[in-house]
Amino acid sequence: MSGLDTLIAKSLDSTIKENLGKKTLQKVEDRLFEKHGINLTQAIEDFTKLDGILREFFGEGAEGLEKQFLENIVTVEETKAQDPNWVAIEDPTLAKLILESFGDEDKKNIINTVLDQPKIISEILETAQIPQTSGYRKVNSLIENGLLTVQGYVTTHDGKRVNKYKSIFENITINIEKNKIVVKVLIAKESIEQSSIIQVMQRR
Amino acid sequence: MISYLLHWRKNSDKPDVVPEKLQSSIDPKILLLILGIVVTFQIYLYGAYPNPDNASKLVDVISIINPLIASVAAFIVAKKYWGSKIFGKAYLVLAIGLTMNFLGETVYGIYDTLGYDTSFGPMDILFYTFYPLVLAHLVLNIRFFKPKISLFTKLWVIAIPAAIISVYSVLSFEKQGEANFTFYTGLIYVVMSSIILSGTLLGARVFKQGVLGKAWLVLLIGIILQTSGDVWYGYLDTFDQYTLTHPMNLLYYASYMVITYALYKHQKII
Repeated sequence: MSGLDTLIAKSLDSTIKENLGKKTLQKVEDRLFEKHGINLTQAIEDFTKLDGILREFFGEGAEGLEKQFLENIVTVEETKAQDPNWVAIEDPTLAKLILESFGDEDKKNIINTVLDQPKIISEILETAQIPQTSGYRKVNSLIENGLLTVQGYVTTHDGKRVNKYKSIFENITINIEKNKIVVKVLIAKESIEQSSIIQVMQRR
Repeated sequence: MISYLLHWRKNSDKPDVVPEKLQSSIDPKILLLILGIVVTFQIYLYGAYPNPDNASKLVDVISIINPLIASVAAFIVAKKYWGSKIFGKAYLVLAIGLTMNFLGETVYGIYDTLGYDTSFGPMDILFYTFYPLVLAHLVLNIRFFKPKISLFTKLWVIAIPAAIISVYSVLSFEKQGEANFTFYTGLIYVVMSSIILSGTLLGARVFKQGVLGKAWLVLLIGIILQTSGDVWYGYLDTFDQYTLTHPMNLLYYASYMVITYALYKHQKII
């Protein structure tokens, strides 16, 4: 699953429940399992499958449904002056996750280290000057939350492949507008390309 | 449980095959049953009540029960989706709308029993309330599932009510030669009814490719019957030709039954 999809998946489940209700969600999940043998979180990894199931139920209405899901989570900046890859994080849980990651000094340093180019974990920890024990824990937490994503690998002298990681963001802005914290992130181009959700949405 | 076991035993030698596409067909037997019920009722009315005024009690009771059943069905569906932003709200407003029709019919029945003038009164206000609530149901669904509507779609959504209203107005005005109070009260029904017909048609198109489209198609049939009833009623009322045993009432009876079937299908599908 791409980093961006992992990040969106964190909120998608609750958004479906909120709009369609528990029983409808259950029917969608049952059909997903019956047809593809996967659950909702797994379906987000292959968004075309979820899209197919939603179309079986709602026909053309699935497009509006998916658009709503995404808009509850992120909105894409449409101003020409700005890079089209800037997205505003609408979902409070997602915004909290990003703010907490940037509020943690070590995590912030880790992300800053891999903003421009991918690195293996040991390199990241060395550049960010973070002790190995807590460093690995924090890197893993960022990977789990989708803020770091795999991008290429290096082969060690004994032939092992070690993944390189990069931040899914290239830039981030945090503003306070009318008592509301607005988090906007510039998504890395490769993260957009790897995201099955964004790819399905862009095909329309 | 027993029926499940019997079904399992009967089919235990057949392998379970996951359907490639979800299926939910409209049962023609149910639609034929509805048609049979309303036609039989009409034949009975003609036979048992040569004077339509004598049929008032029976007609009033049937007219009250019909929307009551539909509104109870809509509340059951609303309860299923309770708390969800779209389905929960949409089916609640539809249930309230159908309840307004039930209350309208009840007030009409009381007026009729007491011998008051039924041409226009509080029941009409209750009947009018039904339409904006159904419209709210349609808007909630369509705005969520189809946020962007093409110009062509917008045009036919406007054209359908415009055509129905024009035909009704021209026919009524040509025959009457003037636009009196009854013409306008009837026109309100025709205007609102044609708008919800257009909205339901749009909803049915949005869900057409999906299994939910079947429920919307049944709902569309129910709304077409309701609209036809409203246009016919408005026309008859303008010329004082409406009677309690007039066959146009069949359209109303059938519409509530078809709407109830659409609600059943919706909750069964999703």
